[in-house]
Amino acid sequence: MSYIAPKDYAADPEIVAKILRTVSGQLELDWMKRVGEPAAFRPSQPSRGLTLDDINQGGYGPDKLPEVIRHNFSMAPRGALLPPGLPSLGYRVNRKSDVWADVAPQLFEEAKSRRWAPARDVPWAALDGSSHDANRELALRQLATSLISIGLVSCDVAASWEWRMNQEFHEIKYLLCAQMFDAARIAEAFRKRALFGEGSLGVDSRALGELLKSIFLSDTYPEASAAMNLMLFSWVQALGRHWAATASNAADVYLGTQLAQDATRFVTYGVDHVRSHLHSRPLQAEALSDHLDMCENALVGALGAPEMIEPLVFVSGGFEPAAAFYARTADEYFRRCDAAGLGDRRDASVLSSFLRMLQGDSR
Amino acid sequence: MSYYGSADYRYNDDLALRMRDIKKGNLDLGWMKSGTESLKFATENKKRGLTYMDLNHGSYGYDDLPELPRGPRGAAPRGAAFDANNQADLEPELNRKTDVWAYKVASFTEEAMSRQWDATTDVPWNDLEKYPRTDEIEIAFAQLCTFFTEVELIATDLPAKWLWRMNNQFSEVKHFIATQAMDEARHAEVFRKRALAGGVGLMEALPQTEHSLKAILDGDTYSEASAFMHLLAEGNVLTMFRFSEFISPTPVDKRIFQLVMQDEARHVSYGMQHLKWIMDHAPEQKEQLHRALDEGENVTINQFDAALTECMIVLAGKGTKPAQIAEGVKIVGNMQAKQITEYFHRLERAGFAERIARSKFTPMMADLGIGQGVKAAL
Repeated sequence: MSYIAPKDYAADPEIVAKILRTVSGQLELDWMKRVGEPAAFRPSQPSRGLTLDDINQGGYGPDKLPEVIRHNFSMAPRGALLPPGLPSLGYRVNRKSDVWADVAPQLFEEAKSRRWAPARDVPWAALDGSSHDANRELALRQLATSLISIGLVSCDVAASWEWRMNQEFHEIKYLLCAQMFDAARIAEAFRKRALFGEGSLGVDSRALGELLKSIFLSDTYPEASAAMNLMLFSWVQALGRHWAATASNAADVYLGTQLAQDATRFVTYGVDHVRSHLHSRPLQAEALSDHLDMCENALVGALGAPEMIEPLVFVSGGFEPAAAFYARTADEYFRRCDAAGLGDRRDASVLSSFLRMLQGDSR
Repeated sequence: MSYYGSADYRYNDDLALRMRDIKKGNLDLGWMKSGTESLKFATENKKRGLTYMDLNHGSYGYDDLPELPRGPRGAAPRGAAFDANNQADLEPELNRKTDVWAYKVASFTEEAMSRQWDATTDVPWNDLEKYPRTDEIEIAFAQLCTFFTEVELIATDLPAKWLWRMNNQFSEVKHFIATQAMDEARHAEVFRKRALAGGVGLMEALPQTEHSLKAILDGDTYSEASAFMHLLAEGNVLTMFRFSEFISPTPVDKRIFQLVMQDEARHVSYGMQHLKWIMDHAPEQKEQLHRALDEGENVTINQFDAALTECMIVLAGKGTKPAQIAEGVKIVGNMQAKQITEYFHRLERAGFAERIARSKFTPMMADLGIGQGVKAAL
């Protein structure tokens, strides 16, 4: 046990005396006078309920949060009165611009309201009657295997940063919990998809593993967020849309649509977070760009691995449609990078070289 | 950046050749010959849908997962083909099944997935105005909500601290932990919203409670942290939720406690079943867990905080007049005795009954003259 209390409280006569005083009805009640900022917030739109934006007002909101948190390293909620003696819980991410995105509270609200459960909400029986040819079914299972890996490690990435963040940023912590939940659900849903019927999983992709490891071991949270939310989930979102668009049954339409919907939240947070981070600290653009250079390199490895591109060729109906899918998704990703304040990455990115390679131009 | 991949793809002849081959229709297709098991999976119960339990067969199942899953250290899902010598090693730290596993964890996860709710829309916030409360009742309830907002996030931080260290072979446990993080974020959210909707706002944070949270977060092993958090701390909070439903000043508040209780009960059950798994599979860990709970109980005793106990007394007695306080003391005293008895019951059910004699709560209850009550309840 790392933390040892300063006293053996069980043998502390003061505590027993305090309890006995209370039991005899002698209350202190002085805590009743220590009231903070009064608040009686109500839903601004009754049909939407009481949202985080509705309660983020005055001293309870994030607007007055300083860039660097120096006043609270405990779990005391933002806006509560902070008495002396609160311990530090060891938070390491204490700069607002390292985590903040104005859209985060809305994304957390959306994550809750658009909940779904793979066990019951996917019309699994629709897979029984689908007329996939055997190769296409194997291809889908291989892609599902890769999506499980993506879900598992994305859950790890969100978890590995959530507990290090200061409680003053509770909306971001909530959102990371929702990301853990969403990512775990991706792994669950596509595991079930791969195994349902006479199912099986495919093979682990070393190249995909390297991409995921590159993101997982990012040195800072902004780097991890840019690599996972902005880059990786641009591809996951596109894969969801592609899965739904090429589906031949209701179960796959549903799975692809839900994947795209959930992934969109990651992407939206990523764009807003990187934009907000660079707005506050423009000099960080180089560090983020360097990191994305390395992660895009790993992404090319994953996209070009036989375990990824070949099943996509089967699912898409040939090489050209698969290459067009890659080109379209890369274009969306580059636009998002630009919108996030990273500038036009097309010329410098290894992704562009890869796309040229797919077109037969080996320059 | 801590990790660089094994290849630079900007000028990579292998990749260029592979793309040229694929374009010509010469596919590798090695992934089609994965050699993984092909089994028949179906929904056993149509109402429940396709559950993890339905997938618990062969190499894909969790029952056959060995105590030491040797080899897999990367992102490969359980049952997928992988090359132990050619995988991206994610360097997981928790690699023994006993480190994390719990009986029934797959069904806990399925339950969590199916019982999600939304603090924004599932609580009738606009109804709060229909129920008049005295200032002292609202102040007491605001203090209670401040406490719950403060403690609930430990159960997001602690699971998050350990989840990414677990081997991906234990995916049902990792999934359960992710659902717990989401549940607890929602709990912190709902109590914050309640405090900020009632007119008073948030009140004072509690230093003694914070020391207890720090002790949970600093646990040396996942099992120590789980015993302290899931079993002891969340067990106490579960009893408090039941009690708080009983003393809630409005039906809106009762609704909140009904919603959070079902989640909390699941978390406590996981903790109990994890402890039981350890007792059954690694009893040599008993002494280590005893020591962790010795200190856990110690900081819990220090949580006897005036603000927390007194706000519950005011709520239970419905005011601060002497007769109301006397009534409140009686009700809260019963609740606190119940917290201990329920904790002892859980230890017994987990196969760790020997803990009760060693518990720091036992002599303390005797000092306070309520030890007999606890004993009788067992």
